[in-house]
This record gives sequence, structure tokens and C-alpha cells, in this order.
Amino acid sequence: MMDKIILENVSKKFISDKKSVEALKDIDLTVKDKEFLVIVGPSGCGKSTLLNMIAGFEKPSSGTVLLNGKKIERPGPDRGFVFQEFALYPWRTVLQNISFGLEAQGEDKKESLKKARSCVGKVGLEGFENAYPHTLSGGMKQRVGIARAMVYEPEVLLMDEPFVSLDAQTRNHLQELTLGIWEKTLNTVVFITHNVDEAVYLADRVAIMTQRPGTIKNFIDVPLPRPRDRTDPKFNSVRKKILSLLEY
Amino acid sequence: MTGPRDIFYIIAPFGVLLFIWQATVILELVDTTLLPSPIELIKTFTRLTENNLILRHIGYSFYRLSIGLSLGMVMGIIMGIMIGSNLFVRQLLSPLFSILITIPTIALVPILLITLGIGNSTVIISIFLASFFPVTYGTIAGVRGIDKRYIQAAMMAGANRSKIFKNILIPGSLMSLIPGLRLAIGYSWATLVGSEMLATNDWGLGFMIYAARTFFAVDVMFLGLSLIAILGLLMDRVIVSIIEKRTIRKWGYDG
Repeated sequence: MMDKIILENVSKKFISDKKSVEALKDIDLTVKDKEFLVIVGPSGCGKSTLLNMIAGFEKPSSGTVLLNGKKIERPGPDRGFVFQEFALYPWRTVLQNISFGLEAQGEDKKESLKKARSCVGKVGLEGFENAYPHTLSGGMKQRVGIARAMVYEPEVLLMDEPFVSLDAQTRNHLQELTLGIWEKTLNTVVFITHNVDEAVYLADRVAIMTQRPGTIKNFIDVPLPRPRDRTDPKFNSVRKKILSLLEY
Repeated sequence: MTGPRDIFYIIAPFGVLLFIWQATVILELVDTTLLPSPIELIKTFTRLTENNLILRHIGYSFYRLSIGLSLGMVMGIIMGIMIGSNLFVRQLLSPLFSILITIPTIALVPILLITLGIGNSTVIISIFLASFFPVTYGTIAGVRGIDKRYIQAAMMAGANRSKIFKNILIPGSLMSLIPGLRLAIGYSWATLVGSEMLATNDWGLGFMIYAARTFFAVDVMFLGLSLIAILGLLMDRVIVSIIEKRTIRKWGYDG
């Protein structure tokens, strides 16, 4: 398989109040094309910073971040981003939130809305096209968040603890939804969580980060067939292995 | 929104005020040559409507107000977004703005009179200045309060600057822009009346009040004051409330 994203020797320092804080140190990471990679790590380990660099929101202090062999300089529509607390536009309806990604690229409004409408179905929000975000539940908001990021068919989907604020049942539904979309469109997914169960359920491969300065300590392959059974002893043994490697 | 309950809360305090006012005059608790009663004001109003005088005064005031206020809003929003979204511009202009905002607009009218003379342009420019600053400040606060992820999401999708400006910065800053707009309308009325007294010699509510003093027409003066209060209230309750209802309230902000 081809290498989609490559991080070589990446470090990131933040300077605040004249103190320099090392957030990430010597990260080497290769994400293969069409791979579902989950990054787990204790809070504050810099996993969001890592994702922000792939997104192009932040630049590494040293090292390089490559997408399709080219250096990532800025955000762009070859990637889609799903935010932790949804970050939907309160002034746009569900449909308009989804269509914005297409309008942003200069597609005409009518065509954008048409494509957005087909996305609404894919995330199970039929009947809520004209609702404003504040009227939706957290789970529904994140369905919009996912639809908004996939509407322009990015090659890579970046998800930053997308289900952290949802209840367990909704979280499971959205995990299914994410897998379904990934299997159908087969884009590459980089997914961040601190929930080990979620990591094992979703990932082809799990990267485990250490505490700050964050670095990737181990990769664990998850060779289980999908759909996965959370009560399967094999599922549990992968979970155990990851938990034993995580520092809290 | 506006059920019978709300209407009661709007009308009741005015009813009580008018009742006390009328009673004060009837019981001659004050010098009635200096205080006309509400009923007299209504009579004066109908008298002045019959020859269309009052409508003409209101019309002129509204004309000046709407042009000055529109200019102030447009320029204020543009300036506010420029200052709010650009650190360099902000640092450059902040001290200047802090000084300018302390100058009462009405104090500039004499200077405008020298350069522009008596007439509409002096009044309009002073209203423009009165509304420009609160709108600018409201927009700056709005832009700075925008969740940066809104912009990140748009950049991810490939939106350029003008798309971000139109689709994110403007709607995103409305939440604090609307209180700024309210202030701007208030300041505009105050400035309108003051500058009409100083810079007009024909029409306008401010001129009407000022001119009435020469004839000792206390009823006309009080009528002018009441009209200003009522029109100002209507402008806030009708225009701003409609904007509010169609935007930020619909989006789930309490406003």
C-alpha cells in the first residue's frame, strides 16, 4: 500500500510567557493509503497538536509533514476535519452547514445544496435539513460535522476526539456510521481518542503516545474482522495490550 | 413573542406615567404655562398634522438619520472587521480610536459648521460619526469572539478570504454587533436633535423644538420631545428587534 501521510522527525514547541514547552518530540509516523489509524494517548500529550499539523492549522518546529509526498503548508480540501465540539456554523441550517464546503470551492449554490442533500441521507439526518444546529442533540450535531467534512470528498478524514462529549450509546452509533462511510468511500482516516475501547473498535492500527513531550511509543495492529464484537475475548486482549502500554 | 402579556408590560408603565402627568397638570401642582398636559399635546399634534408641518419635520429628521446611520453602520462594520481580524491594524489604530471615542460628537458640530455650513450635510456627518464608533466597537468584539475553528473549518474546505469574510466574519460577529447597533441608534438620535438645533434653519424635530422657544410654544417643545422618545423606541423595538429575531435568536443565542 502507498504511504498517504508521512511525519518525519517532527517536533513542536510552544512558547508562552517566555517559557518554551515541548509538546511533541521526534514523531515518526506513516499512515498508509486507505488506512484507519487511531492515535491514543493521555490528555495533554499533544495528540491534537499532531492532528492540527496534518490539517495544516499548525506548523512543526522541526521535521516535515507530507501528504502524498508533498509538504503540508496550509489547510486544504484534500483533507476533511471533524472537530471535538462540532464547531458547526450556528447561522446556517443543517443543509447549509454541509453545503458550505462545496460553496467554499466555488461550486454553484444549487449544485452544492443538491450534493449536500444526498449527504444528509448518508448520515441519517433526513427531515432535519432546515433545522438550526442549536436545536439538535450532540449526536446529531456530530452527524452534521461528519457530513460537512465528507461532502467535498477529501482523501483524508481527520477526526479530533469527535465523540468525546457524547453518551455511550450515541457514541457507538456514530462509530458505526464512521466505519460505514470509511468502508464506502475508502478514504484514509486519522482518528484521535483517549478511549481505548473506541480505538480497538475502529482502527486498523493504533498508535500509542506517551505523556508530554508526546512521542509515539508503540504501534498495535488490530487484526480483527469487522464488524467487531466488543465482548469477543480477542477484542479484549487487544484492549488489554494497549492499556498496559498507556501511561496515565 | 409579543403576546398580550408583553403588550401589557410595554403599555402599563407609560399609562401610569401619562396618568400622573395629566393629574399633575389638572391639579395645578406645577406652573401649567411651563408644562402642557398629555391631552394638550395630542391637540397640538393634530393641529400640526392638519397642515402637514409635523410630518415634514419628522420626514427631514428621518432622512438625515437614515443616511447618517446607514453610512455609520457600513463603515463601522468594515472598519471593525479590519481591526478585529488584523493584529497590525489593531495595534496601529487602537490608541487613535480610544482618543476619538471620548469626543462627544455634538462638540464637532461647530467645526463641521465652518466647513460644511448650515444644512443636511453637517447633520448627516455628525450622525455618521455618532454611529460609526459603537458599530465599530461592536464589530471588533464580534470578530474577536468568533470561534477560530469556524475559520479553520472554512479554510479546510478551501474558502478564500472573501468567502470567509462574507460567510463567517459577518454573521459570526452579529452577536455583539447588534448591541453596538442599539447604542448607535441611541447616540444617533441624541446627535440628530442636537445638531439640528445648531445646524438647520428650516426643518427637523430638533429645529422644531429649538424654534418653538422663540414663540414660547411649550406644547410644541414637549411634543417634539415625546415624538423623539416614541420614534426612538419604535426604531429599537421594530427595526433592531426584527433583525435580532431573524438572525441571532433564530440561531439559538439569547441576545
